[in-house]
Amino acid sequence: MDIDTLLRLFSPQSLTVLALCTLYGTLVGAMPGLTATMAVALLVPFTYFMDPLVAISAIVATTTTAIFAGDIPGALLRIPGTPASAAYVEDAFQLSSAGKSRSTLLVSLLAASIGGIVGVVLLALIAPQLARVAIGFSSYEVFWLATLGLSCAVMTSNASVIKSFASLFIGLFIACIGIDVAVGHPRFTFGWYELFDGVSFIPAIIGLFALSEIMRAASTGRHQPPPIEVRETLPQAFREAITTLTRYRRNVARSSVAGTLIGALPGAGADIAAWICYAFSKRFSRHPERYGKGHIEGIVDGGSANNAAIGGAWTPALVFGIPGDSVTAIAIGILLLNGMSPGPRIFTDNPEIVHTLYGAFAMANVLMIPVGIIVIALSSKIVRIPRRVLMPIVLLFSLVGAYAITNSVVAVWIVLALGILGYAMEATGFPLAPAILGIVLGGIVEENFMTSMIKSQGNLLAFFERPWAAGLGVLTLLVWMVLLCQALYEGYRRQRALSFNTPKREPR
Amino acid sequence: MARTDLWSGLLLTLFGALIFWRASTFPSMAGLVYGPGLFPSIAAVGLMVCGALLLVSALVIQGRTMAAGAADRAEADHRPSMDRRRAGARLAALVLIVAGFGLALEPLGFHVTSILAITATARLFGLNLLRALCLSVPLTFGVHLLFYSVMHVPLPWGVMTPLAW
Repeated sequence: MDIDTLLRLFSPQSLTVLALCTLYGTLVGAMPGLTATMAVALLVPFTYFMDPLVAISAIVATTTTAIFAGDIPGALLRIPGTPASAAYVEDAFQLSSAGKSRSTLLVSLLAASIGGIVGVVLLALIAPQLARVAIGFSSYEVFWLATLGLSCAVMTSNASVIKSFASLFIGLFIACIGIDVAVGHPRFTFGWYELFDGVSFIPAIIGLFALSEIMRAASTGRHQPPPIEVRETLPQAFREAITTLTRYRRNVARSSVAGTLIGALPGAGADIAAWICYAFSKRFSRHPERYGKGHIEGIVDGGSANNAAIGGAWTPALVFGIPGDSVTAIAIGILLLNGMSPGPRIFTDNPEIVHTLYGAFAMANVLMIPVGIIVIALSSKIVRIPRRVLMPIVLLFSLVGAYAITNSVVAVWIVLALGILGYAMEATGFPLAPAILGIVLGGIVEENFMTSMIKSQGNLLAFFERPWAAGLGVLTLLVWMVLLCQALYEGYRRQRALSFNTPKREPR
Repeated sequence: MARTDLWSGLLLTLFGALIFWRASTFPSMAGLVYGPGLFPSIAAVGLMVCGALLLVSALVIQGRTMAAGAADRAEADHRPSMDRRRAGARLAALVLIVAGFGLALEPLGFHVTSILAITATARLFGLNLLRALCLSVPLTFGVHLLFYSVMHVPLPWGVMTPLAW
């Protein structure tokens, strides 16, 4: 990094923008119904008036902090602020219910900060090498990568394998709604033009996670256990968070590196990184049975992985202009608006952009700690607001937040439809997370699947002909084998439970 | 769980079949067997298989428990039916509020609609009318300030258009 870039980064203007965007990202991410994607989308008009390099810093600071802050409503309200927090929302919520919201959030803040810094260091060190591998990726590899992410979603959910798969297929079906990628035929739109672009993702996630939660609150009536209490002081929580991180330092290191690498692959962003690292964490943990029931280990892994992935996601975004996730997709748009086209030449033609990006990342991750602590201290007050006051507020933010994304009432209908679906699924023991991932990745899977099928003239063996595709494909098939064994074991256990005539409840 | 599994399994199978049937009507590309219908068909088959498995296992369990003489009373909802009926009514009310918000947003405008919707939701959750209004009016103007004035989201004014600023 040259002196010029450093001077520009530490200029009062750049520092002010970084600090403001860190605060903005944390606040927006912390509000239920307002996601990292939306935070960045709403930032777009402001970046018109900024110097392109400052604009990049603004985007980077907002995404980094919003991805962390997505954990806050996840922990306190069980509504993940961003899809990247969905993997471990159950653990975070259970821990908060046990009175540990502050230490849980501090763990995810510090893990996120470390993950983010590891992410940007790795991005700076190995971006060219990774780019060289990924530049050879065709539709086969991308297809397997997305399929692997989906399979991991089924593997990490705590419900029965059949119900998790059913949830995934519901998500994939929702992703099919709209104009199809191959020939442009409208599917399941019933002539409703607003659906031609598909079901907008943010209204969908608001419906599935926010409205279904409000509906559950409404259906349980007033005889509800008291809201989550904060029983820790900030210094106490801080000490506990440090102890936790020291105990799981190897998890932080592993997931920061893995998260960056996953994020660097095209089409795989912070959410897939969190899912895969959570799944790995569960597999390698000494206590896999505690996952989803309030175990901090998965939060350490997922929390560091998703922030590390933001750094990684910029690799394909910068090198090929392929966004790692929806947030980097908007970021690419901003770069183009400012007259910079991302591509391999950006490293040689505009190295100052790449360097500013690295610098902004590092600084945003450091600034995030004090800002995050302040927001955590304040956010715990949310839980003291009685539900009868909180729920109407959440409802209005959800509806207006959804409306703001599409500027049309269709968003409200999507929120309502998916809210009912989410409530029904939860009530009958179907996990929501695989459905959400199906909605996010369905388009990517289908596009690459169709491209591959057309290229290979329907020959399925072509999916294994290239070395990387073969590796990813075999890995995916292995995950499927594991899932099949898991389903058979579940059936066997149920049969046994029945023959002993002790009706057992479905594990949730 | 067995009874809800039975119904959800049945519903998923039927829904999958419906998607499969719709997807089969989509045109395919010239000279190719796979077109826009392929991917929805995969999802549909997945739904049908999962639904059928749920259905079969629920039937087996129900059959066994019946044979053992123990209906799944143990798993039945313990809440009295009056409570369940109230829960259903509250759910329906919430759905109506959201639907009403969607229907009224453009004709009535954001301010009127959200004051009405938030007051109704707050009443539903147990606030009295005065407190519900004390919540909904400042909240609506706060959201207006944040989304309309600061973030420039074009919230509709509806009947309030003459007062728009």
